[in-house]
Amino acid sequence: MARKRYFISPWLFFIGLFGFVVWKLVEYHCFPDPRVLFQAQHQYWSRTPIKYDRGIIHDNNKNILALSVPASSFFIDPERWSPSSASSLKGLVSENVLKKISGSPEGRYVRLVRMVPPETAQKIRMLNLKGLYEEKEKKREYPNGALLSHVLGFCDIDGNGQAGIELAWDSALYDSQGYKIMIRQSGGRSLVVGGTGIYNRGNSVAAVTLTIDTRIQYIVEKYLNEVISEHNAKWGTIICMNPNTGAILSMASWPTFNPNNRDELLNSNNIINNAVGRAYEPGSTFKTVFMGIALENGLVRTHEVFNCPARIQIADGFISEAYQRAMGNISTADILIKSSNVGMAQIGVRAKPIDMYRTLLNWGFGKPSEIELKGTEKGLLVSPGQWRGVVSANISIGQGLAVTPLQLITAIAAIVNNGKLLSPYLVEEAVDSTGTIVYRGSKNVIREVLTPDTSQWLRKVMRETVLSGTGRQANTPITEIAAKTGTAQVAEKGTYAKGRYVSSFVGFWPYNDPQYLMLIVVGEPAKGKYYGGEVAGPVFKKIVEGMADLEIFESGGEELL
Amino acid sequence: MLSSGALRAETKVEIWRNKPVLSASLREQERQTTYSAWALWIIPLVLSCCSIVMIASLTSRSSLNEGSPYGLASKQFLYLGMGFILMCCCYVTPLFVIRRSSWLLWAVSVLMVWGTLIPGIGVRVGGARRWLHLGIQFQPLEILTLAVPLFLADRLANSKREEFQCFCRPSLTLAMLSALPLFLQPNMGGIILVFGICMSMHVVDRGWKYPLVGALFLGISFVGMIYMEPYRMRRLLAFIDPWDDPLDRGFQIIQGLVAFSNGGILGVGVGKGLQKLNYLPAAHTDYIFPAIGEEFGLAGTLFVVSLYAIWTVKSYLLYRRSDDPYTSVLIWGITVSILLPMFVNLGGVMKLMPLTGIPLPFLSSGGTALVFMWVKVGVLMRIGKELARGDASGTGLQSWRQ
Repeated sequence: MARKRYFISPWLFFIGLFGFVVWKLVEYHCFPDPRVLFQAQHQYWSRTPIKYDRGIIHDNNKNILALSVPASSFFIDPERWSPSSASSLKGLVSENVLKKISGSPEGRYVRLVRMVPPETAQKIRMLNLKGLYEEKEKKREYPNGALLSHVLGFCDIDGNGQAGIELAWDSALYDSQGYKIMIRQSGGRSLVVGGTGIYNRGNSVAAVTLTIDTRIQYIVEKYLNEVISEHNAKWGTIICMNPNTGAILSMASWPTFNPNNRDELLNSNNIINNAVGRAYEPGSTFKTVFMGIALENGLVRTHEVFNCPARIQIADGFISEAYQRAMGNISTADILIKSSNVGMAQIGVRAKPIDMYRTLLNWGFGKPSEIELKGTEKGLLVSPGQWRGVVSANISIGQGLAVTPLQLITAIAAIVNNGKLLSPYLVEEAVDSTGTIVYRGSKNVIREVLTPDTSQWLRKVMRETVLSGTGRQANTPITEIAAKTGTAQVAEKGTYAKGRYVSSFVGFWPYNDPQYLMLIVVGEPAKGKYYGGEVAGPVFKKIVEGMADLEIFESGGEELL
Repeated sequence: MLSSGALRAETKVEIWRNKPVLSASLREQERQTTYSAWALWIIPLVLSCCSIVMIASLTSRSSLNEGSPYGLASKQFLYLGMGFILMCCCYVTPLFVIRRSSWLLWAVSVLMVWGTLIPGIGVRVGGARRWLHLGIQFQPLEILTLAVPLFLADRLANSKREEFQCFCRPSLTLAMLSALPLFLQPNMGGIILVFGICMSMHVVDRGWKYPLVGALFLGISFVGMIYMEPYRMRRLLAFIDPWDDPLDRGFQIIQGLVAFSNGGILGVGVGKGLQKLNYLPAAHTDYIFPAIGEEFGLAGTLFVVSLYAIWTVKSYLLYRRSDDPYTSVLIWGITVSILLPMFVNLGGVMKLMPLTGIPLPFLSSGGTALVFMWVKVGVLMRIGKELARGDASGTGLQSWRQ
C-alpha cells in the first residue's frame, strides 16, 4: 500500500525538467546568441552578379588603357560527345586536351579552350560538332601592351584584379550592373524565388581615370628601356609628377611585362613595381632633403663655409668624397652643387638622432606612401637608438637608410612647391556602374615641412647644380631644369659592395614655374659609368626634350638660345 | 530463531509497505472521482497529427523527387493508423496476459537487438548498426524500450530480495543484459534510455540509495573515459561550444539554434521555413522540434512541450490511483520510456546535452518508434481501465499467481 510515497518522488523531477526546457525555449526563440543571429542573417541569401562588364581604365585624356572584350570559350559535354570527332579539333586545342577528349572523358564538362580570338572561335564554331558548346566570356585586354603595365596590373582569367590598379580598384571596376537574388540551399544549390529575382542597378560601365598622361608614359618608358640596355642595368624606374598637386603623370618600372601575355605574369621579378615596391639607398639625391631639414631646424646657415678634405673621420667610420679629391673651403650651397660627402657629413653630425628621426617620419619616410596602389614598401629608417657614431653622417648623404622612389619624389616635391608635403595620387576619378562618382583624386597637403624661403634657396641650388655642378649633363636649352644627382653604393651583407651602384637623378622644370618633377633611378649599371649625372642625367635631358617635341609643355627654347 | 537484525529489517519492510502518506479518507475520495483516461490518448493523437503536418511541410520538396510531395507524410499516416489499432488491441488485452508474456517480449526484443549486429539482417546506417531488416526494416530498440519496463515491473514486484541484492538482481542485471548489444551497436542514446528506465523504476519501487550510488559510479567512469581519449574530449567541447567548429561538428547544433531564432515568437508560417533546405540535417526525424520552432515559433514549441506536460500530469494521476506495486511501477516505467526519449531528444537539439540520435516520441518521422509508442499508450489505457473497474488492485498479481 502506497509504499511509493515514502521518499522524494522522482515525478518531481519532471517539473524541473519541463521548467528548464521552457526557460531555454524562451531564451532561444526570443533572445538568441548574436552568433546564431549572424548565421541566420547570412546563410540563406546569395547575390549573384549577372550582367558583368569589368570597368575601363583611362588615362587623363580618356585614352583607354584597359578594357574587357567579348571572347569565346569552348567545352564539351562528354555524355553527348563522340570521341571520334576529336580529330577535327586538331591544331585548335592543346595536345593534352585533344588526348583527353579522344578517349572517354568523365563528367559533364571538359573545357577545350578558354578565351580564344574571334577567328579561332569561328573555326571551332563552323565544325558544328555534337556535344561541343560555346561559352561567351569577357577577356581583359590592354591595348597598349606593356605600357604602364606595372601601374595597371592585371587580372586573373576570371576577371578578378590581381595587381596594380586592377587589384586596388577591384571593388569599383568589378561592379555588376545587375544581380540576381537567390535562396541558398545548404550544400551549394541555389533556388530562385519570387518572380525573376533579378535587380538592375545601372547601365553604364564602371571606369577608373588615371592621372597618367600616356604620352609622357610612352616617352619615359622608351628612354628607360634605352638607358637600361645602354648601361646593362639590373633595374630602373622613372616617376614623373606634378609637384604642385601630387598627381602622378607617369610611372615606369623595369624589368617590365606585357599583361596580355599570361605566361609573362609568372615571373614575379618582372611584376614588381620598382617605383613603389622597391626600397633602395638613395644616395646624394637625399642630401637635398637632409639639407632642407637642417636649414629649417637651424643646424646650418646658408652662408657657412666648410673645410672639406678628401676624407673625414667621424666616430668609428670614415666619409670620403666620391671623386677622392679634397674640395677645400666650400659654401653650404656648394656642398649640394658639388655633392660633397664630407661637407654634408659635417652637417649630419649636428643632427640630434631623435629629432631627425621624427622629422624624417614627418617627411613620409619609413612608412608606406598613401597612393592608390597595393604593395607599397615602407622603406627602412633605423630607429634613433641605433644612430650611433657615423650613422647620422651616413644618413645625411643618403646611405644607411632605404626609401622607395615614390617616397623620395614626394619629399622632393615638397622642396619644389614651397614646402608642402603632398600625398601622391594616381586616380583622378572612379565611376561605378550606376554612373556615380565614387572617388575623386585631388591635391592633398599632408603637412608643411619647409618654409618658402628654404624651399626657394634649395631650388636655386638645384638650378646651380645643373648649370655648374654635378647635373651639367642634363642641361638643355629648351627649358630651365633644376636637379640633383645621386650615386649610391649598394649594401651587401653589411658592407658596401664594390662596383654596385644606384644612379639617380631628380629634377624639375621649368625653374621659374615648376610644372614637372621627375626622378630617374637606374639600379646597378654595369658598363663602367655609374655616377648619377653620367648615367641618369642625359636620360633626364632626353625625356624633357622628347616631351617638348610632343608639345606637352611649351618650350622657351628659342629665347634661351 | 531470528536474529534481532533480521527481525528489525522485516518490521521495517512491513512498515514501509503499509505506510500511507495521505490520510485514508483522502485516498478514498480520490478513488471515487472517476478518472477520465481520454487525455492519455488524445494528446498523443494531437502530437501525431502535428507530426504529419510537419513532415508534409518539411519533406514536400524531397518527396517530390519520388512522385508525390506527401510521400513521407502519408507513410507516417499509415503508421499512425497501425499504431492506433495496436493501441486498441492492448486496451482490450487483460493486464495479466501482458504481464505473463512480458518475459517473452523482452527475450525476443533483446534477441532482435543482437540481430542488428549480424551482417545480412542487421543494417548499418552511418557507422552504427541499429536497424534490423526482416522483410520490413525497423529499429528493435523501440520494442526493447517497451519490453524493459513491462518485464522489470514484473520482476520487481515478484522479487523478495531486499536492498542491495534486489538492486543487483533484477534491476541491474536486466539493465546490463538489455544494454549489452547496444554497447556493440554502438548506441549511446539507447544505453541511456535502457539504464534510465531500469534505474528510475528501481527508485520508484525501492528507493534512491543504490541507483544513485550506481549513477555516481557511472558518472565518474564516464569522466575518466572522456579524459582518457582526447577525441571524446573534443566532442564534448564541440557540444559545449559548437562555434569552435561551426562547419563540421558544430554545424547541426548551430543550425538547430538558428531554427529556433528564425521562428521568434509566432514562427515564419507552415511550409515557409528555410532551415529545411538541407541546413537542418534530419529535419523531419531527430530535428523536428527545431523545425517546429522555426515554422510555429515559441508558440508552437511551448504548445508541444505543454502537451507533453499535460500528458505527464494525466499519467501521474493514473499513478496516484494505483496502490499495487506492479501497476505503479509499470505506469512509472512506461511514462519514463516515453518522456526520457523526449528529454534526451530535446536536450540534444537544444544544446543541453550531447546529441544522441533518439527520435522525439509521436513527432519524429519513423514507423517503429511511432507504433510502439502507441502500444505503450495502449498499455497505460488498459491499466487505467482496470483501475477504474476497481479490481485492478492486485489483479494482475493474483490472477497470475493462481
